[in-house]
Amino acid sequence: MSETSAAAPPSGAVAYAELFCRSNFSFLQGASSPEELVSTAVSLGYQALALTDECSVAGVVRAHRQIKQQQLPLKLIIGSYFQLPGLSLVLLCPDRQAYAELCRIITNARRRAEKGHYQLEEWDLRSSKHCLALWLPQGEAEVDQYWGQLLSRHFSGRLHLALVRQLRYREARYLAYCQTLAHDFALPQLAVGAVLMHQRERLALQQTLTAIRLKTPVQQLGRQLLSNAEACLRPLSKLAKLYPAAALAQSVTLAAACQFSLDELRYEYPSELVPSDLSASQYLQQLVQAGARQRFGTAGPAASIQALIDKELALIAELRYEYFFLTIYDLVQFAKARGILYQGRGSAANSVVCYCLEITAVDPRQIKVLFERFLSRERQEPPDIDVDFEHERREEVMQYLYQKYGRERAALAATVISYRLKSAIRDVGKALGINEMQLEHFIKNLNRRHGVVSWQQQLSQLGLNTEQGLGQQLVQLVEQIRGFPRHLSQHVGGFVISAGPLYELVPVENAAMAERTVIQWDKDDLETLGLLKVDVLALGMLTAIRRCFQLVQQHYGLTLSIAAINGYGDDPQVYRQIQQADTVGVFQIESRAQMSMLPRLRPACYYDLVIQIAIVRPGPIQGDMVHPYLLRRHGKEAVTYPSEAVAGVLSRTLGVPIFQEQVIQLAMVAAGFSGGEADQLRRAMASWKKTGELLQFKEKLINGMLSRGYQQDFAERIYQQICGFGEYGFPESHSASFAVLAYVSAWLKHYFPAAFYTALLNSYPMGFYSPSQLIQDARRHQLRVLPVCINASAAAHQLVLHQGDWAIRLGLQQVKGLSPQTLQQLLQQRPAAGFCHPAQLKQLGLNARELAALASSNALQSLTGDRYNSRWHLLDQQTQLPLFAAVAEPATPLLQPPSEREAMLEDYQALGFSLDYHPLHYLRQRGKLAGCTLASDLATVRQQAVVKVAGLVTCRQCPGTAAGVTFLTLEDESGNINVVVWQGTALAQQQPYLTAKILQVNGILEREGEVEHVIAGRLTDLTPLLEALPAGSRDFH
Amino acid sequence: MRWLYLYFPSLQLDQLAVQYPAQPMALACPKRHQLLGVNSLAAAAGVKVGQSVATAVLLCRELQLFSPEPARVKQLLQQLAERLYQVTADLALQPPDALLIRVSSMLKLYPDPARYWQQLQLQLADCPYQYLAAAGQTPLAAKLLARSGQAELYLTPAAEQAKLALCPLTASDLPAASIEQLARLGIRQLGPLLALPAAELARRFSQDVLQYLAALTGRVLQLPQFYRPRLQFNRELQLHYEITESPQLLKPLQPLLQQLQQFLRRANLLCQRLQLTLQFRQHSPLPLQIRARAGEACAANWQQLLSLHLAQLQLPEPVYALQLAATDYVPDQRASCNLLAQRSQPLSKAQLLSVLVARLGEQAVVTPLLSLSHWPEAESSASTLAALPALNAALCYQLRPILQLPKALPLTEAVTLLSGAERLEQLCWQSGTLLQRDYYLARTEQGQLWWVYRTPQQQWYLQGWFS
Amino acid sequence: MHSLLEQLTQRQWLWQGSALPAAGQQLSSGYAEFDRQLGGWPASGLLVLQSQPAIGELRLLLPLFKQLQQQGLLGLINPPQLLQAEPLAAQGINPSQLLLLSGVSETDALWAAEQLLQSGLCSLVLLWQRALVRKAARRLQLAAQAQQALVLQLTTQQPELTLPLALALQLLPQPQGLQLKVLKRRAGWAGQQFYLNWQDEWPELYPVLTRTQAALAETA
Repeated sequence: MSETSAAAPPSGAVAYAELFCRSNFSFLQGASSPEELVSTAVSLGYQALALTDECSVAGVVRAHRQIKQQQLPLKLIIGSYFQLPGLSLVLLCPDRQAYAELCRIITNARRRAEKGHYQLEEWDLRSSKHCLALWLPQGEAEVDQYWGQLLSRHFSGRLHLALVRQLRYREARYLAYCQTLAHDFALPQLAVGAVLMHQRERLALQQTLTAIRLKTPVQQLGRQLLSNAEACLRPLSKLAKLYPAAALAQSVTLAAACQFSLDELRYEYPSELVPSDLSASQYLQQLVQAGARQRFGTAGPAASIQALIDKELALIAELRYEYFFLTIYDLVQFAKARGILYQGRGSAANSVVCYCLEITAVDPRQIKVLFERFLSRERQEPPDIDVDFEHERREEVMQYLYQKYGRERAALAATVISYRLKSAIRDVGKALGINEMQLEHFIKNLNRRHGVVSWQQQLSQLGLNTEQGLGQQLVQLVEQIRGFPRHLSQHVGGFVISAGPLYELVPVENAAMAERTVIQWDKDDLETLGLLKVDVLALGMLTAIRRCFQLVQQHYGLTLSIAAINGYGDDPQVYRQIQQADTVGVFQIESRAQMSMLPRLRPACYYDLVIQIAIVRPGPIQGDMVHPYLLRRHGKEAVTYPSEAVAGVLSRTLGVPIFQEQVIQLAMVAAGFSGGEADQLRRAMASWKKTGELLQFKEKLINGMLSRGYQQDFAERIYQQICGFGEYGFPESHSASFAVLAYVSAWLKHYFPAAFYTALLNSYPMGFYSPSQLIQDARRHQLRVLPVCINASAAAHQLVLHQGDWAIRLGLQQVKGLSPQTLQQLLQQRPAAGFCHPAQLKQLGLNARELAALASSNALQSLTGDRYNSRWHLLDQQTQLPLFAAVAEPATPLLQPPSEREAMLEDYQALGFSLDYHPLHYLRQRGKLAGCTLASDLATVRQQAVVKVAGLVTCRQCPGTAAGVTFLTLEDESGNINVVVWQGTALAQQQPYLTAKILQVNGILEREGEVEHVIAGRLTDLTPLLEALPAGSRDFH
Repeated sequence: MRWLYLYFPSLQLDQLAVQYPAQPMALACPKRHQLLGVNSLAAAAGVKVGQSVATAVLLCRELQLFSPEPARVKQLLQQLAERLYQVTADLALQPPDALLIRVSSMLKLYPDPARYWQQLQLQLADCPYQYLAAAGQTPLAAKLLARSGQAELYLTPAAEQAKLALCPLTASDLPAASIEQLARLGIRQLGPLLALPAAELARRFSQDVLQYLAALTGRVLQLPQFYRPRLQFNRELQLHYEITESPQLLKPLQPLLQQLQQFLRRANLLCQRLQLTLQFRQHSPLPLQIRARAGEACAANWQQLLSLHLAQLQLPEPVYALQLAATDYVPDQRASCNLLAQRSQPLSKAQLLSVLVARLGEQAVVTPLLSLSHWPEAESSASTLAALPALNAALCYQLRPILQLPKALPLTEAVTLLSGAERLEQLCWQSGTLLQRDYYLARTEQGQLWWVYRTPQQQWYLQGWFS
Repeated sequence: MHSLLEQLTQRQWLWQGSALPAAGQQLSSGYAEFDRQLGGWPASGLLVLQSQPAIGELRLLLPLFKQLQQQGLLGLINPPQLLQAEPLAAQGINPSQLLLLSGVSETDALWAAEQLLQSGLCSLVLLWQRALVRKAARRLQLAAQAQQALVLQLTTQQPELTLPLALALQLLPQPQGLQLKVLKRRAGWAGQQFYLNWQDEWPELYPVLTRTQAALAETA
């Protein structure tokens, strides 16, 4: 990349480079983002800008990207600011060695202290050979003498004395003092701005950040606040008046000495994966051939597939990405060896190479593999591969990576946690001294989902005067602070692996979790610099599937695998079950919206499933592609294509673009985009809501299509569909990988329901439904569910033979409040014949709380008949004395047994569900639900008929795309009822809508095919009928 | 009926209702944002105790929220007790919200209990507080009946037992843990609990459950601590001859001050404020407030303060009577003063101040300004004043004018600047306006050293003197 | 002969015109030149300082304040502007020892000064007052004497020298600091004059003029 030297300063005007400037990556100190600082420095005509955040280089890549993308005439210098008791110092990097040195110093300083802090030692300064240093004297003679000697000894020739002029109290005296110091130590004097904001108007925000940092209201901070706004990027004319000319000139000469740019960071992949005698591409070639034989049969792949493999291998060799694939291959082999279920997805799934390397299970013959999405010459960064592992065993995979490459060469990428609306309002409100109770009240009532009413208006409706006074300040400051970084936390699974020590490349610091380390750059930074990132992600469904395989192996003696089940091909019985939307617990297609789509789309083969998963997403819904597709699928609308080329792209989806890849292909085929340009279009689509980059592609796209003879309206529609896609367009590759798991879970649910439900219950919390709903679904499939029993249950839920067929015996882990250690102890000391009297439990030394938990979950039913009696016995202190062990028990039980209502309520409280009773069934028996139709009887109700239903509110969903409409799920003893509540109805009846646990709805039945909805009219809250029922609803998830 | 229990469920809310009539109101606990008390209007809108503040405000837009003030409630209860003390004797305070009266001793005065109850109702009628009254054989029985809403006064012992059996345990004084344990055994009312044999109970529950039952059923009698009225000093004096000149008033006040001194010495109290009211024939009575900052007992000092006050007083017409009342009391922990100081009998600083204030008025005594903030005109907030003693000299700016103008005046004469600018910018957090000033040290022709500043609009102002 | 002089001075029968008066012990003023010239401030009695405001008249008294704050409160009556505690605190004076009265009539001010002295709590009373009548001055002098305290009157006018003053000074501003003239002094001669150089204590207020600026100042 050519050296961007700034234009020569106009004659007479002073030249200046700002060498001490902190962005908002100095958390809660800098008040401007790296991008703002860079663009302001350019507009002021600075020669160069050094971004020197406190013991961090987290912001430099963003500044670098800003300069590169907009070709700004400004040199970016990398550096960092450090503080020690009595010393303020800035280190700058003139060259690559200095940069490596700076990263090492930051890493050591950060690793010595816990997250968010650092501790610099004198040793670090002694060990620095290349960095340039700017010294800011403290103003106290003996402290400055000490540090002056030390610095001039270790940084001889590389040390400068920095003069700061911010018109502060007795500054003239301080300046004179600094000049004498510079004279004593023979140091060149250098003008710096100690910049904290890019323009004066950010003073209010900077002071608010200080208030947040010091946890005191801003009105009481007095002298701890900046006395003026001089700590900003100032025009050259002002600087010329303030600073001696020599000091200004010195800044430019020093900036000129710094040549290092981030583009010099080349990536070195870990080398030990390749056997010494082979080159990387040869080894890869070898592995792929072996894999191909294994995947496509010993004869090897068909000619077209083989051509694709060679094309891919050639491109990989050309772009030197062999190590990337080898690293993933090695990771996947480790998982296979340990029997950990895994699955690769993402742009990699589009490649046959990955299929041969067993990274993905997506057979390219089933989906049309799009090479451009996988790798492109214009895009400089490597393919982004995500690999999902069982969520309970992912830690093993991560530890494997740490052991194999060592703590210095493997670390997690960072995620920048920034201020979102609610955290911003809370922190800024506290900083302005607004009383906390009011703040909490605002935050709780701010409903982001309305979309129509802005948050500012909502605040004023809630009683905050946003036109003047503190309220106005709060709104302005919150608007500015949103998006500001608060701290670095670890990416969910993005690993960075390097050949040499990582801290030569980027500083590494401690993460919140013990012995986890994080680099200071996030995944966008890595992408900008073209550095490798491997995503190790967790997927709950994989754990459930493995457990199911083990249960089937143990009880049915059949060994299953994902590949095997896929190998059986499309099983019509499984697809019939899917078409009836009997998919509770099935991966990806169990949500309410999916269930209402399944009967309309009626998927019959694997590729239908791929479409089903992708179509129920905000992208296609907003781009209104769902109806056209359904009409065409059921032959109600002719399948037409504007041209032959478009047909090739959209034939799979009957002419309606659904996948992200199709939009890219259309851009290439219909508008003449090159592969790389098309992918930049995809990236623009992903972030157009924030940056609006999509507009520049609009003319290109439409003119391209018009020039190729497509009508204007077709081009417009495609553009609208692209905007609709935005960040929600779902890639076909992801959908394909998910479809594999969806089919496997549906297959298992059909053929081994008992094992399937047991596996799901044991992997909870996971998926969409609560244990109570899973159990009810199981019982609707005529499966017996046996209650928790102190003698019969094991720790986890178990598959047992009961009266001739398979039943689910609930495990003791379901009892809330029973610690795993006590559970193990209980199982070990359980006599073969089981316990016969609660007193025996007391001898085991269980503490009172755990005994109460056991009693309330009715696990002791077999011993004492009911809960009250078991508690009565457990309370008895007497029997603890061995002397009275033989005393005869009083014959008649003193307590009456619990009523049905009390037993049911306690079931829900202790276990979260009740096997014997359902609240609605209980109320219906007592005639409280006169006129209410059962869920199962809804089918008999006429279309548009008025109907009255009632049920437990198990889910409230208010999807952003549905303009204020809320979907409620009511659960009664016979099944689930879908209720649609318009915004008007919800606002009119806030109390029942928001707080009801048991809700009665009078409304009209809407039916479309087999899917029924009740459009809510009047809502009545029936909760008072069963006061103590715990709230189990999954609200606004 | 031997005991009467008066339960006032919403003392604070009722008192607030007087200030803000016809307003839905609720008491909310500031930390847990939960409602502790709700008035009738709010309850009508569906707001219930225990709800979160957020849901409550959503249900009732104009709900007024107050945080509970236990001190105020205690004071209201105290006033109620004082009022009822006029009518009945054995009265006990049951904080936070109830009064217990032993009726048996009063029945000697009022043969018919109804007449006695009517007397009590008369007193309670003109207080704005709702109340529930219940009678019982033992204090705890009456309390349980009142708290579980059974406001019955004339019950035969048998009917009382029946009513008690239905009372929910949650309204009783049993420890919460025991109530919870009993509920989990299905025992939620007093009846079934009393039915269980004491031996079995003893093996399973703590001692205080058994003690409570014993006290409730009267097997054991616990006498509450009865109420004693507070001390008051209030004297009237009819003058033999009318006095026209205020200083002459001192003579008749002499004996009253002596009595005040004895009263205070006996109660070991100091009085901080004396109220002297002068009665006239036509003119309305003139009240005089005399304050002694740190509290004063000895008559001579009050004499001196009174003379200072009266010295400046003009009487509209002759005084024929006067009334002296002492209001604020404070316990007398006399500070030990060192007797060795060679100065004459040392006054305490507070006494000196009260003498000065007596003559010069409250506004004359001023505390020096200290704001420890960049902005010269920032008023010294209370917190900085508190920081006065613990002041760290290093933190204070030396180069600041000792005398500062209350309001900066435009500069009229030419000055020479002695230093570079010190720029100060202040953001007014209320209005959002940003003020910017560049301060300079300057010397006038006559050699005076001033602290001046220039505004961005190039106007010059004088802020302070380096005197 | 010599020994005779010594005996006489020992018995204090000898009075020298120019000898320093041992009129009661004195308080150090905190400024070397001041102590050399006048031996410091008188320990008690009534003093008058004639001075324009804002030329350093209070800064002259700061060391005195610092000493006397240990022995008692410092009474300040009717300062012409708002008194700032911070610069005083910066010089080690504890603001809680100050007792400040302002906006009081002249007669009340005198009464208050007397009260402060008689209370035995104040070691110094500073009174901004145009002039003192003889009777008031007499009473203040006696009260100060009785309580071993100091009363200072700050005025812009020529003081009445016949009053019973322990010391009367006139202060005049100088580019390097302050010029002091003794108007009256008990047991000492008037008319004495000397300068205080404050360029070290207050460099910013009395900047050392560079050669060119000094030349300019001479010619102006």
